[in-house]
Amino acid sequence: MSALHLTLLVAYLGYCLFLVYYWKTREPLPSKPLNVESNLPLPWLAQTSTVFSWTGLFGAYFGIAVMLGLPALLGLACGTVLGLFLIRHWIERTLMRAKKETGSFEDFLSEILPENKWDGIPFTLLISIAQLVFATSELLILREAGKMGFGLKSEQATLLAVGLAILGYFYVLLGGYVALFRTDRIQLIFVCAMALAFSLYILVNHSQVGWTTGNLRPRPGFWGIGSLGPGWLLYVWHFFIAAVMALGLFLASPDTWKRVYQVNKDQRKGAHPVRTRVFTFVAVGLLPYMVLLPVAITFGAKYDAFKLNANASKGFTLPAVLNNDWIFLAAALALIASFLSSFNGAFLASVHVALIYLRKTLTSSRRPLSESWPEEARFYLIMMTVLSSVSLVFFWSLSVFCNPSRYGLNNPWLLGNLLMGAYSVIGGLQVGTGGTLSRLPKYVLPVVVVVGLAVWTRYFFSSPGYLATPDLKSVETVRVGVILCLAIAGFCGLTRLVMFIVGKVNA
Amino acid sequence: MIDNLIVAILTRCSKVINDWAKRLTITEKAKALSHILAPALLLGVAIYSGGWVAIGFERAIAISELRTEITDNSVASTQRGFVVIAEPEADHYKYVIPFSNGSSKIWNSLDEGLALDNAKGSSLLLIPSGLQITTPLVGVYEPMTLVIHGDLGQQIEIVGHGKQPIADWRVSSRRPLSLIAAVLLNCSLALGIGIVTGFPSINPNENNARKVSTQPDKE
Repeated sequence: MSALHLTLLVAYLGYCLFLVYYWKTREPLPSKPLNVESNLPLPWLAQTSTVFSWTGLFGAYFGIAVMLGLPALLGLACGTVLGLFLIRHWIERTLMRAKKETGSFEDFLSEILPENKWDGIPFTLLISIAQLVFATSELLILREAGKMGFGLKSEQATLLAVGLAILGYFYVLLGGYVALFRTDRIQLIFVCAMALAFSLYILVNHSQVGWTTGNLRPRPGFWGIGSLGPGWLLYVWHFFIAAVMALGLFLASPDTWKRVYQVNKDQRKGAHPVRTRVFTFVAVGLLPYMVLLPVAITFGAKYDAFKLNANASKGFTLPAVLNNDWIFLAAALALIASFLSSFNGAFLASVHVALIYLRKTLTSSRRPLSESWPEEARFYLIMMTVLSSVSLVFFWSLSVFCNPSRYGLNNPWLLGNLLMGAYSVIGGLQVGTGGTLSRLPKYVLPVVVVVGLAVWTRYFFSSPGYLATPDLKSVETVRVGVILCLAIAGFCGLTRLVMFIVGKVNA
Repeated sequence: MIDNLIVAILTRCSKVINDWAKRLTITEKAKALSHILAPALLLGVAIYSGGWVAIGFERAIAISELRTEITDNSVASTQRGFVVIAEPEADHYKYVIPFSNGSSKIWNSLDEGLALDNAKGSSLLLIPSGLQITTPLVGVYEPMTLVIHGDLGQQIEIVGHGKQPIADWRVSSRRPLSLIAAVLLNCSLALGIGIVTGFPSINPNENNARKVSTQPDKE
């Protein structure tokens, strides 16, 4: 059957590459390579591709669903749906305030990035680097999934990860957003096919699980408040934390903003009724959790048995189901598809934010445009820089987080967990300023960023998330991440209030 | 003299490439770097730092652990051992595969003569710390199989190169290798597309030596 696997895998990847190249020749990148808003098919389908990632859905969200159960899972779903609505509102309001109601996505990005360099550079770097590290985290987890789930050796898994990263890089280098959206359609089909295949397998082979949501009961000892015992108040708290986490993920993901912008633009053009718009967001927002639910229920029911097995909590291991050739193929295709979708999205988001800020800086500087490099050259150089940075962080992470002989660590999920701090800071800034960072006084933003990241880093290395091997107990760090996000939001809100009062008094 | 010639050729090539690169615009340079150099370098680094092993060109030995035996009355019992499949290796390496509680025999696929030659030549030895295999093996030009009774250790030692987990030397399934092969094939295709796309286009109207020689009066 390996010839069949090879053929189908080559066909899938080759077809995607052909698609990218075909659209590149049919619609070459414009002089502003990422300012593309036409021929982006079905943007609503992949609005939650950030969630459909190894760091997100199959990492943190999976852990939350198993350890914190139904209240948290509902919180994640609500946070995701709410995030889509909020981002839509934020985009519309930002463009309206800039008197560019029909403005482009690049106009929106340009508006939200602070003008002055003391605020703009830290914020741009924070978002761009967060996306770059997210892409790297996907690479690390893909590599681990290749090892534990598909039986690859370390070097083989590394080569697989690097090969796929290069493929993903070429998709977006050649085709930009057109390539991203067009390949996302195919990728989502494979992820859903895998979900269906696994769900059917679980239904057939694990029917003794007893398909009730009772299997998603919250486990004690996580996300507690003082001495509060299990009860509706605690579950509301779990719901709230999960909702803020899901919301925060979207608020720090420019590729999600792009997709929501595109959906909104298409819906405005097509004059879709409000009911259609609401239905689209809700349906797409809940889709990842429909995929997660059967896996989480089965795993949740057997978690106690898994805990007794010394090997189970030490790594990500797919079950013996992969002995079935068709399931293996479905899983392999979905693994690659899910990775490419989230990796490409994060990669392009990192590049786009940096590109827009660079353009904004050059436009506002006194340097004549003739002296600055063309936008196309800047695009290529930033793409190369991001690829090099992803590679460096990847190989560094391999030597630190996946090398037991060095620091005793063998946990590829550490990088994603560490990244949560950056998402908390970005989310806190966005919530605290209502999406308009210029409302903060000058120089406050870089201080908030530095202090926020320092506090998170200090906490993380003594937290339950800093584990030598992967363990679902690392979900405990999510609570602190959310508290950090809310603290920053509160501080920003307070700062704005003080400024408002001072302004009134002076007036 | 050959060294000097190679240096001269390389210097000349570098000069030609440098002169050619100077004529390119910023955009063309950036395009070439991003389409060709950056991804090729990354793949090169990955292959050099271990990927070559991944494709299977580096490790001459594959190990598989044996755990049980099944008798003719369908009874399974514990029987510890391991199998080593050794490819003919031209380079000089000394591998030590640790094991314990084993017998003092090596059951192998060589005929008597070759087995004796390799035993006497110390290419295949049972030493206190385990099984020692020294390449190149004497007179062996095909993959060779060894079966040893005993509890396999955790790390294989490549003398002079350190120790590595035996898990990384186990026999690979063909099925997952289809993942890597598919990805590498498409990666090569993508790199090819990158070269075609990223290489600066040639200007047919540009004056060059051929035109100068055939149409010396034409600008």
